Amino acid sequence: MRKFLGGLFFLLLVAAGLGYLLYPILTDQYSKYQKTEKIDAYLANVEAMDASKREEILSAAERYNESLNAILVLDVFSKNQTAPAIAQAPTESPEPPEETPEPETEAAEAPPESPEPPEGTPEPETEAAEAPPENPEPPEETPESETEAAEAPPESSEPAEKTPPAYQQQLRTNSGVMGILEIPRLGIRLPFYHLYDGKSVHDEVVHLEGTSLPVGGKGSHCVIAGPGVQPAPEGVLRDIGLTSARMLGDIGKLTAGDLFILKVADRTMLYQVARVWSVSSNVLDQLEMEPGEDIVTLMTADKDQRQLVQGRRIEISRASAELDAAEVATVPPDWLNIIIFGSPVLLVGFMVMFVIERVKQRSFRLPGEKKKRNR
Amino acid sequence: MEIYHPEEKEVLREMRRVRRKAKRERLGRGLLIWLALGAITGWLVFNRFYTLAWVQGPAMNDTILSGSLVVCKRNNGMQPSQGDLVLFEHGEEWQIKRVIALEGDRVVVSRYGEIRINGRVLEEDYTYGHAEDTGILARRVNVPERQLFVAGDMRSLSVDSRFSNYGTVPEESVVATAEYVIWPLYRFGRVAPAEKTEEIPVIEETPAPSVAPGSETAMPTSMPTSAPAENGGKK
Repeated sequence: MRKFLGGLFFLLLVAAGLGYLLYPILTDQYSKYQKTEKIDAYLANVEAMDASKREEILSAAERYNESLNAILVLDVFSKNQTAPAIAQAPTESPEPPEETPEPETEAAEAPPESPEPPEGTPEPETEAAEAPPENPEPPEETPESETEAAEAPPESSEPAEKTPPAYQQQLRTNSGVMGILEIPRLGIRLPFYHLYDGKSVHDEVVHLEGTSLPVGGKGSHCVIAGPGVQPAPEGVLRDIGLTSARMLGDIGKLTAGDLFILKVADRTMLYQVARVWSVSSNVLDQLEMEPGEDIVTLMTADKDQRQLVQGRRIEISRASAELDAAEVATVPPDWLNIIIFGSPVLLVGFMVMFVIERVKQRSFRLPGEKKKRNR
Repeated sequence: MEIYHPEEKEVLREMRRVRRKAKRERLGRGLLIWLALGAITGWLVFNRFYTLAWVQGPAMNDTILSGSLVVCKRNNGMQPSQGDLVLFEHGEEWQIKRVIALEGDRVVVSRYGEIRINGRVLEEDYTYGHAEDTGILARRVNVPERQLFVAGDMRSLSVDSRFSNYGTVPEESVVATAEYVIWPLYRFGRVAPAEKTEEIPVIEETPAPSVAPGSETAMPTSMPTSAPAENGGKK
């Protein structure tokens, strides 16, 4: 009996150890599998669209981008911003984050062609509480004063032809996915979404509103943020420090010169990493548009630090050297080959040994030993 | 002379001890033999028949994702056939690409990425996406003897025989043919392009909030409610 318990204990120990090692890997694989399904659905959706519809979506997004002339990056990872897009009654004092835009008043003061509030403008708390549940960044050609916006009844007049639709309608497809982010070097392939579209930056990769839409173009700067390495679900597994999906947690490993790819509708955009750095959460407003440049910044959170990776667009047609260099197949070390190709034989061997043991056990029964029930 | 007559219990105990010892020896020997056998087979298979390859890069998406571990069958001088995914030496590195055309074929690459082989349009159902982004010039290639015309499945992100500075690939440089994916786990199995979905799946409908969110005034949300959209039309 004691021997049996000892064996059981040993087995449990081995199983626990293996589980501890494999859990993060397997959960990451599972999450990637789920993401792949979303990606495939998106690609199928896009392919099924009319070419003219795709064109329309992209050009609407381009018009939207033209209407921006500064980007505003909020620290979406901070706790105040976690609320998903669930309608709630306005509370007395919703805590506004430090870097919140005050859209209406700012817009009124800003020159008419800049509907974007300048970045990093702190919003007074009272104003936030009083502000109507309005689109804080109306992508409109004409700015409106706060009172106007608040009092204006929803007019039924159709939007003018040229006005780009509101942010949430941009790059809209059936699948809800906005586009796909691929980082070949890290094996990352993730769909990204509109922020607050039922998606939180804590579990999905999202495009940040207030930055250019990911359709490229000179003078655009698109910021895509995603969670870092996800902890295991609440409970014991998390308490012992296990992680699950890795998400964007590894982007700090990128170095200048690496490539990443955005796929939006049928447009494929290639970016080359120019800069990798990390900042503390309250200096995010460094991100700016650069005229004539096409920039995408990837962002992830590691506690109070924000890991940023900035890539500059390179035309695919001019990037053949880079793409060629990125394409490498390497043969893993010999021992891995030997283990993998030898393991079937080993498996068969263990089975044979097991059978032999059973046979021997049966034939060498001592007097007084009962025949084990047919097992 | 007195002979010690052991009790039955003692005899049994001794017999059990002997049996245990025999078992331990047997197991140890078995383990050693099978480990050795496994290692030898593994080494032989690796040297003669198969090799693993760790594939990086976007060119073979969605057939072989970047970061995949692939089992490749060594060619050992066999001529690859059309459609094979070949592992070949390219400069100092190795690459994996799909064989599009064999020696003697006449390949025409149009500016829009369409490939014709001997006048027939190549059916490309490997991937989604288009090749229009690539800067290939229209080109006509007669694949020379003992050469292969290869291309990546993700045409728009692949640099391959369609480019004049890449050219065709000599058959001798082909090392192996990719057959099985073992990593990532969710792609475990025979190398195959991602299955295209026939119907268009709608994964999730966008939740269109009917009530304007109050607590989110401080957030950069713009809900697709009617009010902001229509205000947009005001000039």
